[in-house]
Amino acid sequence: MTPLELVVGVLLLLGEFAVVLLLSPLLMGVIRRVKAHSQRRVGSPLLQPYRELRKLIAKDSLYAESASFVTRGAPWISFAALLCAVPFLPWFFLPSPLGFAGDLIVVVGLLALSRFMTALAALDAGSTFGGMGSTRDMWIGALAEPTFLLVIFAWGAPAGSTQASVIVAYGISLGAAYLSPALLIASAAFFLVLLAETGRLPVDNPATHLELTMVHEAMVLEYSGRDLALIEWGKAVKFTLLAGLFVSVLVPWGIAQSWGVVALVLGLVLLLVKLLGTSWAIGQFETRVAKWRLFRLADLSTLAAALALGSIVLTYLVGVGP
Amino acid sequence: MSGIPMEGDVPATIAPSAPVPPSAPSPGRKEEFDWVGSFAPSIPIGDDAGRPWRLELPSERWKEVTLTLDRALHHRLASFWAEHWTDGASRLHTLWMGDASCRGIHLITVLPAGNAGVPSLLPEIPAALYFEREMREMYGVEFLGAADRRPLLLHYQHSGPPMRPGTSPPRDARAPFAFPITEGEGIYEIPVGPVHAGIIEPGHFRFQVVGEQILNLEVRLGYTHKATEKRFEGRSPSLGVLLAESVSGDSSVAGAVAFLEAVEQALGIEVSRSAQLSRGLLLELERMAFLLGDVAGIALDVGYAAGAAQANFLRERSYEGLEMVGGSRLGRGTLAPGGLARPLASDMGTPLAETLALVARGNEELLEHLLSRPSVVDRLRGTGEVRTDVARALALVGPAARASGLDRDVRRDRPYGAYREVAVRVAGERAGDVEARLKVKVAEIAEACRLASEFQRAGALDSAKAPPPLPARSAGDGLGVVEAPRGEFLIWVSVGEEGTLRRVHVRDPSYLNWPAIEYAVKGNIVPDFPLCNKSLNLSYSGFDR
Repeated sequence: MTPLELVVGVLLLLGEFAVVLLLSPLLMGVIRRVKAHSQRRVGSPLLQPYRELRKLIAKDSLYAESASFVTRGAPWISFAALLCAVPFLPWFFLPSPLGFAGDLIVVVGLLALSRFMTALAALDAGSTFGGMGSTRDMWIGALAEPTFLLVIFAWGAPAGSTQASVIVAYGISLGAAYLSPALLIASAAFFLVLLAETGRLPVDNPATHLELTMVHEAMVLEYSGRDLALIEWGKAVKFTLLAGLFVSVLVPWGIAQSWGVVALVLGLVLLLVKLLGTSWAIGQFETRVAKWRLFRLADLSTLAAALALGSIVLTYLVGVGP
Repeated sequence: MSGIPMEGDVPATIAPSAPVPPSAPSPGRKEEFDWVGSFAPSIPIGDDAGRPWRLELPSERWKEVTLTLDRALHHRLASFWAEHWTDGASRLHTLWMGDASCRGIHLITVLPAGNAGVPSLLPEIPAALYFEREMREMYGVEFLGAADRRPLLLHYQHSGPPMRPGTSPPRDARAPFAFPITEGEGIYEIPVGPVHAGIIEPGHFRFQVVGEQILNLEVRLGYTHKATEKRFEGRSPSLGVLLAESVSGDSSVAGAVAFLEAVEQALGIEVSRSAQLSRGLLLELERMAFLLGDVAGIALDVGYAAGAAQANFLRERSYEGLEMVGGSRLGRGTLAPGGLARPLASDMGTPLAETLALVARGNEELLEHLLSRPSVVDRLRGTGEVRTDVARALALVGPAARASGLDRDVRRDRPYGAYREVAVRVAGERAGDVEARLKVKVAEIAEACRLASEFQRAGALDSAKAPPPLPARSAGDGLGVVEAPRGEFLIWVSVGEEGTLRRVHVRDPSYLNWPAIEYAVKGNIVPDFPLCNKSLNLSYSGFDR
């Protein structure tokens, strides 16, 4: 590896982080806008989430008297865990400079760490809502994570790897034949995991003001100011991570496979289009569905797990590719 | 006790459909009340057209007669209040209503100064609980044998009962209040409120929960107590309208009409037909807007924002209809004793008809839209069930009662004003869950559109400015019972010789319906509580007054 390649590689790596960090609030804005339009409202500007983050960052954080160091540290660890997952996912070019260091199973672990820290912090202050939110969130996590792993195996089986970049490179090389029923079924299962992991409807209602129905919001009720900004931003980053993985595996074409300028720019633009499209689809989906009764979510996760398992079986029965 | 008539035959005979003129009691009817004689030998039976039958009882027979009304006659407790007289005696009023068309029965008992109290109606009549607790704290009436002696509305200790004449109590320390305690493996408490995450009225909810399942809920209210009943005292009836409007701000028109019905009955004021029609129109427009808000709330609480947006759109149109004809979105300041404060906008006929047609059409689509979503129906069905026997025992009123299989609607059972001219189709469901309440509400919106159109066609907008009719007498008492969007809104008014209000008793429908939520949520999961709450849509302000 020449020094030039090293510099470019570091720059591209930073580019990945920048894309995720800077783009994620916009995706939240798009979802809100789509939902507002479906309700015949104008909705807030697309850049509103950025303004909210700026407002929160400018404010001091307040802590409950009973809160310990866990409350102060948890948002940082949670946010950092999410950022650690960025190089292991396919964004706008392949292979990622640090991609060799971890596969999708590591990503699942990092998301679990982030979830665990949030839940721990929710318990720390000792408020009832924190406890209620954390039990619900851990329960949803326990339903979603095994399915997430199954989906990874279903996606990885044809490519023979659990590394995202290998799966995506395999997809690009196969062309249209890559879009097998097995892949589509596994992706449908992942869509349900995506909803559960990112706290969207029908699993959790991010727009609710009803404290007794909250899941994620109940866990972070005690947070304010800078810490809350980190949590909100983290939520957006998590959505971007999973939405990015979803579109990159489902529609891998366009991701740059060389470090040429044209290919990189094209990859970046297509990534933007894909992410905005996913956000739009999520917004549309959310307006068409009510929040499910809490314990019915087990049915949703059963469905997702069955789809993922079906996809694995299908892969080994029929095989994939030409 | 042999003279007590059996179930079924008596309500029809003591509740004649046509009011009897006060001066000509029919000879036969005296016999119908002979059974009362077995309780109290010399009971004068009040006999004034349109009023409930009035019985005055000595306090020692009071509970016996009360229980008879409840059990043999199947009357329900509609209200229960006290008043103080200057000589230190207090009078207890209980008002009983039957389910079918009926005049109702008004029982009065005088308690002399320094009395030991009266026997508590509990546990036989569960609906009496809040009334008794309020009378104990506000009037110092002692209910012997009552198990629950906690305050109801006041959160601070007072030196004496605040409603007793001449006591201006200072605010002392916080009053102790004991919530029930449930203990056991895995049981925990969730205290919610009085400050909530959304912009709603204040109330404290104490849940005892195992896992997500609700074992018990106790509601504590009183945070918005404004001493409304006290504020009425000594004011003129025209000022009283403003207070009645603000008992429950989202049903201002119903509060005002109930108050005016009471005042007009007390003073013998005849209201013109066109003014009655105008009041009917305003009442139905208010009902439309209110119930559409409920539908929007239910849709929003299940996270179905598109349905909520549609309901809110129609609700806004209804409020605009109110503003169009009455000049106020909430229907405030439009009514006055004897008629209207100002005539309705007679040139708004066409836009009003358009609005009514739009809401009627949209409402029909709305229900179809909501109930065609499996994810919505799944949340509503079987959630927050109030069984018929519970609803009957708690004497529920309004859509909450009608969704639980109780067929009661003041507009049909005890018609007032413009409702004497129309046949109201009363909605009803049996399941008692959130879905049943939603269906009843949507049916009532449709019926409100129909009635509003009917009132408009009959000339509700044509009320010209006319001098208010003169009162036939300067003092007296009267009862106003109106079907508000939440159910039976009841105001009893006593006007003194100076023409000012002497005592006003206000019973918002939520006063009877609040206990229903404690039963509705039992066995449900915590995240379904807001849905139960929204489908009952209880008024904090109306309860606290």
